[in-house]
Amino acid sequence: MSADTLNLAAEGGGGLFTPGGPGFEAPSVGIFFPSPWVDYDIPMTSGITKYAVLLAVASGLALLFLWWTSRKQSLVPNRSQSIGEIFFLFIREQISRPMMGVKGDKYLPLLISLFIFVFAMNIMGIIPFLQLPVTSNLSYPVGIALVVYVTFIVVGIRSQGGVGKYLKGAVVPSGAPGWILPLLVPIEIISNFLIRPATHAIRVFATMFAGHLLLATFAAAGWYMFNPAAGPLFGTISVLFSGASLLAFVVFTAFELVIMFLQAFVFTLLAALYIGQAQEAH
Amino acid sequence: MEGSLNVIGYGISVIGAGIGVGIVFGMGMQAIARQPEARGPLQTNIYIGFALIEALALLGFVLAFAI
Amino acid sequence: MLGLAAEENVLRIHIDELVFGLIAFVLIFVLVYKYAVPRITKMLDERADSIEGGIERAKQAEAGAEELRQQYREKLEEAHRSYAAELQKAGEQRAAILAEAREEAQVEARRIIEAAHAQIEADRQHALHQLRTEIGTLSTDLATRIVGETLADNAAQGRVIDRFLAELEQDQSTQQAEVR
Repeated sequence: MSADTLNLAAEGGGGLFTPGGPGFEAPSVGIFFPSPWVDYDIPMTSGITKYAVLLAVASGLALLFLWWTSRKQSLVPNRSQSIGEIFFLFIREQISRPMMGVKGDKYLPLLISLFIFVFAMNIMGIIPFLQLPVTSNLSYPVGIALVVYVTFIVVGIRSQGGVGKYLKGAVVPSGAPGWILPLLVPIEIISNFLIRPATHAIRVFATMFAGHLLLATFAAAGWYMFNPAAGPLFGTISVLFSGASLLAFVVFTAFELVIMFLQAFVFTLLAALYIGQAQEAH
Repeated sequence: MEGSLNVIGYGISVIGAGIGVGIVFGMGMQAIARQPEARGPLQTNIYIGFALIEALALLGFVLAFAI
Repeated sequence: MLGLAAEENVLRIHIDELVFGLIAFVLIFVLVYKYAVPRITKMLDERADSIEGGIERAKQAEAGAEELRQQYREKLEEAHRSYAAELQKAGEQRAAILAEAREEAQVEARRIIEAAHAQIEADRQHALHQLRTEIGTLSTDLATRIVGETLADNAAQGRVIDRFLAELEQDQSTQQAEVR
């Protein structure tokens, strides 16, 4: 349970079956707005909050992983090197090659950084005492989605040879009859250049947001229902309920781990897809 | 009871996207099972379709919180 | 709500957090781009090279072994061939020795037979001669006794004897012819 969740639950903790006690208050979206430790009162900024600290932890973990897996290189791989190679080959064989083919190998560093960064930020949501996925703050996914957005536009302009050619290829669907173009072109513009980066960022954000809210609800409910002082019968029932909630919390934590991996995978896959689409000639 | 009616609307809108994503991946699996050698292009197209459909759900999510 | 800032919209984008995120991403990207990926790709390539080199070496060793085997087989065949040749030569020698010995033996046998024949002939001649002399003496004696001193003349005696012997010989040869 995160500190915030604990605080939230402790406020009305142990309320079940207490006559006149506080009602259950489900965790609200407020848990995604930790108060800043350093606030510099500039509009559109939040100051140094828990998110910034967790971002530092996540990037530190990612850097440590990368350094650890590529530190010692020998012909016969040792343990850490094998992990690094498996990771590298996973990105190459599962993401880069199916989406971009062999010519996409030069974007492997970008994809590897994207995957490991998104995954490290996601994984903060299930590490005890940290327990707040960094990607549940929209600012961070937007940052990396912006990187991908700029990358695929630049790649498209370069490989198509000119802004006009790239825009024409990306916006005008090939083989469409002329009379339908006024309808299609705006749709393509909105879809390719507005919705695409927006959904790219929001997809990982929304999943992490909802998943964390779910976990927080289970934790808060478990804490709320734990009330052994309510008498022999009601006390037992409350402990059983609390145990069920705790079990669900554990199960959904494992589920969240899978989702975190999957979202990082999908994020990287879509980045590869967008870059690959921009790369190939229309 | 408090809350935003937007969230109900979002829940309803997501039904469609959920069905759509299910159909995309189900059909995609079927296609790959029928023609495993065409896995590469099929996978690409599956993810394009998935991204497009989920874009609708995510638009609903954004609108639920933005309005 | 304790410890929480005033609620904002969930879909907020804070410039400072965005910049922090970008900085962290750039850090990771630089590490991956400059350090991790080149090292890993280099090592993968090297390993592929060394595996291919290993296969190449194994092929070479196999070819060498094959060559050696070929040589051994040739040597073995040669040994077989020379053995057979030796065998044949020995057989020929044996046959030659046998033939030589047989020839020698035949020559020897012929020589012995001839010697024996000559001896026999000589004996016969000798016997004949003796016989003739004896018969001559005997007949002379006989004739002397029969005819007396009249035939003491040597020449006549010799003629008589010769004639007598010729007759005798003729008889003998006819007899011999009959016998043969």
